Amino acid sequence: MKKLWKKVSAVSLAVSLSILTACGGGGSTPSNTSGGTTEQAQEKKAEQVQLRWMMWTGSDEEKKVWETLAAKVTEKYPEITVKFETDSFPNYWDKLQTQVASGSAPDIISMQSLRMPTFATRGALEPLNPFIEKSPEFKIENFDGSILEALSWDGKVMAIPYDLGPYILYYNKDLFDKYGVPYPDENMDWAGFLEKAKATTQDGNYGFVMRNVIDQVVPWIWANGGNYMNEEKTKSMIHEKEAAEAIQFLSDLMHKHKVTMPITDPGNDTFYREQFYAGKVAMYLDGPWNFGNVRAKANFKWDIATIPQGKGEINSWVAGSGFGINPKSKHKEEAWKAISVMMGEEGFEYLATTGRAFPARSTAIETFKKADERPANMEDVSKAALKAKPFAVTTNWQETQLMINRELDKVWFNNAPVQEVLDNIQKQMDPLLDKHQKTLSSSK
Amino acid sequence: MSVLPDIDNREANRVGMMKLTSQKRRRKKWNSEALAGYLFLTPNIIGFLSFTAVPVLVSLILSFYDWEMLIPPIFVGLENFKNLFLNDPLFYQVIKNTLYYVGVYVPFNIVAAMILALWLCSITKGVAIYRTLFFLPVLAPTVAAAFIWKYMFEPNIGFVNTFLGWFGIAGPNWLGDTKYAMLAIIIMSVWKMVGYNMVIFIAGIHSIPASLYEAAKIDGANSWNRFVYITLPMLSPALFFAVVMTIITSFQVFDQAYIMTAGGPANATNTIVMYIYESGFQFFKMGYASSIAWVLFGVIFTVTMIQMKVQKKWVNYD
Repeated sequence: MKKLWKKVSAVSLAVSLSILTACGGGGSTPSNTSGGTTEQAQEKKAEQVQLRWMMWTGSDEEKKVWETLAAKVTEKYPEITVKFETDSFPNYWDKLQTQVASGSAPDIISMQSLRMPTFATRGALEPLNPFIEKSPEFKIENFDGSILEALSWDGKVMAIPYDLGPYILYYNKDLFDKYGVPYPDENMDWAGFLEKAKATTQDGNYGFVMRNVIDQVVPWIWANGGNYMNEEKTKSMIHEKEAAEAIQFLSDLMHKHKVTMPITDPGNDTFYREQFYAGKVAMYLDGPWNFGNVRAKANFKWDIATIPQGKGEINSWVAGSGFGINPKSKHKEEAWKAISVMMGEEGFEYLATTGRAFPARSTAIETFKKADERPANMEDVSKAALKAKPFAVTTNWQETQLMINRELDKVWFNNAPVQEVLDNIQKQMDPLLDKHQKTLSSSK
Repeated sequence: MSVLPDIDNREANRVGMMKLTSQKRRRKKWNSEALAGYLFLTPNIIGFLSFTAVPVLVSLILSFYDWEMLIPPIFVGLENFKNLFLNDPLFYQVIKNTLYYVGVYVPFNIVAAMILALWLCSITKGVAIYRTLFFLPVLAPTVAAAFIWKYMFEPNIGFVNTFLGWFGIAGPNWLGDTKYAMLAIIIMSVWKMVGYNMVIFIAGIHSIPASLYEAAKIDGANSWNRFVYITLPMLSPALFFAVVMTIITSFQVFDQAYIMTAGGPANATNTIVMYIYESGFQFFKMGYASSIAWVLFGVIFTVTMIQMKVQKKWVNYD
C-alpha cells in the first residue's frame, strides 16, 4: 500500500507539475511498461536477460554510438541484451529522478560526477567496489585517478567513468596570429593572461568570454589558493580573501579592462561557446567533452592549453560521466557484466575511434588522438588532469549553485561590489551546507 | 446520435427524480439513462481525475511533507509554509517579480487590445487581414516566439535596438540587464497575447446595438463621449472576462521567462511558477514546491474573488 502511494504520488505529481510548467519531461509510465516486459521476458526464458540502460544524448549520431556499444554486450554475453533508452541532457535528470522515486529506474544508470552525490546519498546507486574486486581482468588501474575519485562517494566507486574532463583553456589560433600574440601555454600566469586578452581585444573581438556560472569561476578561485567551501563541506569560503581576489580579477576583466565580452543572452547555456565558434573571442574555458562541437563548428585554427597559473597548486576541476547500477535492479550481476564490456578495453577502443569524449581509460588515449588530430596539444588534457581535483559538490548542489550563480550575476551584469555580493552568498550558503550535512547524517 | 438527452427527456427526468420513490418504472428509466450519461462522461472523468483532481489533491497533501522523491516523504506539518514565509528571501523576490509582471503586463495588454479592437471596428478595408495578423502570435508556440524575440532583443544587431537607433536612442542590453530583462519579457508577452483579448473586444463591440450610437450622435455626443458612455459600459462584461483571465494566466508566467532569460540575470526574471519548477525538479524539494503552488493558488483565488466582488460596481450586464 505504501509503495502504491509512492508510485501514485510520484507519477501524478510529475504529471501535474509538468502540466503546470508546460514543460513535459517527467512522464514515467512508458518505463513502467518496459520494466514489465523485462520481467515477462525473464519468466519466459530464465537465462535470457534484458537490461534497461538510460543515457542522455544530443544527436542521432551519439545515439548510434551508444547503441553500438550496447550491442557489444550481446556479442560477448548472448544471454544479455541491453535496451537503450535516451533523452536530452536536462530531461534525462527529470526522468531519472521520477523513475527512481517510483521504483522503475533502469538497471544501468548513467551518472555525471556533479550530480552523483544527490543520487548516491539517497541510495539510488550501487557501490561497485565488490564487483570491481571480483573482476581483476577489468583493470580498474588503467582509469584516470582524478575522475574515478570524482565518481566515488564515501570512498566507494559509484559509476565507471567513460570520459575524463579537466577544465582547460581553448584558444583561437587565427586571432593570436592576426595580432602577433604568442599562444597561451602552461607557464602563462594571470598577468600574462590579461596581457594576451588585451592584445586580442580588437576590431570588435574580445580576448575572453565566460558563462555566468560558478563552474567557470572555480578554476580561478583554486588557482589563487582559495576555495568556495571547506573540505568538510560545512562552511562557505567564497567570501574569503583568496576567492574574493579571483572574482575581483574576473570582474575587472569584464568591467575595468573590458576584455571579456558582455553577456547579452543570459538564458542561453551555450552563449559563451557560440561566441568562440563564431571566431569573435580569443580564449574561453571549457572541458574536453566539447572537442566534437569545436571541431564541427569552428572555421579557424584552434588549440588548447592549461588554465592560467596562480599561486595555488590546483587550477582546474575535473568532472566526467559514467555508468552505475541501480541497487533495486533484479539483474545486478548482468548489469555489471554489461558495464565491464562497455567500459572494457575494447569498448573504450571503439568509443575512442568515434572521438566522442576524452577517454577515462588510458589505453584508449592513443586511438582517440588518431581519430582526430585536433587539438594538437592533446596531451595538455592529461597535464591539466594532474593539476585538477574533482569539483566538490553537495547533496543539494543544484540549489546551492543556482543561488551562487544568481548572486554572482550582480557582479557580471551590474558591476556590484564583489565583497558585498560574496558576503551575501555566504549568508545563504551556510544554511544550505547545514542542510547538506543533515541529509548526510540521516542517510547513514 | 446526440450525446445529450433532448429537452423533453430531461423534463421527464426531472419529474422522474421528484417521484423517484413512488414510481418504480420511471425510476428504472432514469437509472438507465443516467448510466448512459455517466458512461459518456467516463473518458472525461477519468482524464479529469487522473490528470487534475488526484494530482491537485496529492500536491496539497505533499505540501505538508518533506519529499525528496528518492526517499519516502516525511511529514513536517506547516514547516514548508513557515520556511517559505519566514526564511526564504527568494520567495519574496519571485512574488515581487511576478507582481511586477502582472502589474505592467495586464494594463498594457488590455489597453493595447482595446485600441486595436476599436481601430479594427472603425476601418472598413482589410479588417480580416489585420485581425488575422494580430491574432497570429496567439497561435504561435510560446517557445518559438521567445526564441525569435531573444534575437530581436540582442543589443548590438537585434531589431529592437536597431529600431531605437533610428530615433537616436541607444537601447540597453535588454536581457542582460536586471532593470530591463523583465520589461523585455513583458513586451514580448503583450505582442504574443494581445490578439486574444482583441478578438474578445471586437466581438463585444459588434454586439452593441447601433441604435445606441445613433441616439447619442443625435444628442450631440462626440466620439470620446460615445466611447466612455456607450462602448465601455456595454463592453464591461467582455472587459471583466478579459481582465480576470489575463490576470490568472499572467500570475502563471513561465515559458517566456524560462526561454529568454532562465530567471536571470540575478533572479530579475524569476517568477513564482519558475520557482515551483526549480524547487521540485532541480532542488528535489517536491513538498516545498507543492507548498509554493498552493500559495500561488491562494493568491490567484483571492485576487479573483476580489474582482468578483468589485465587478458589481462596474460591470453592466444590461
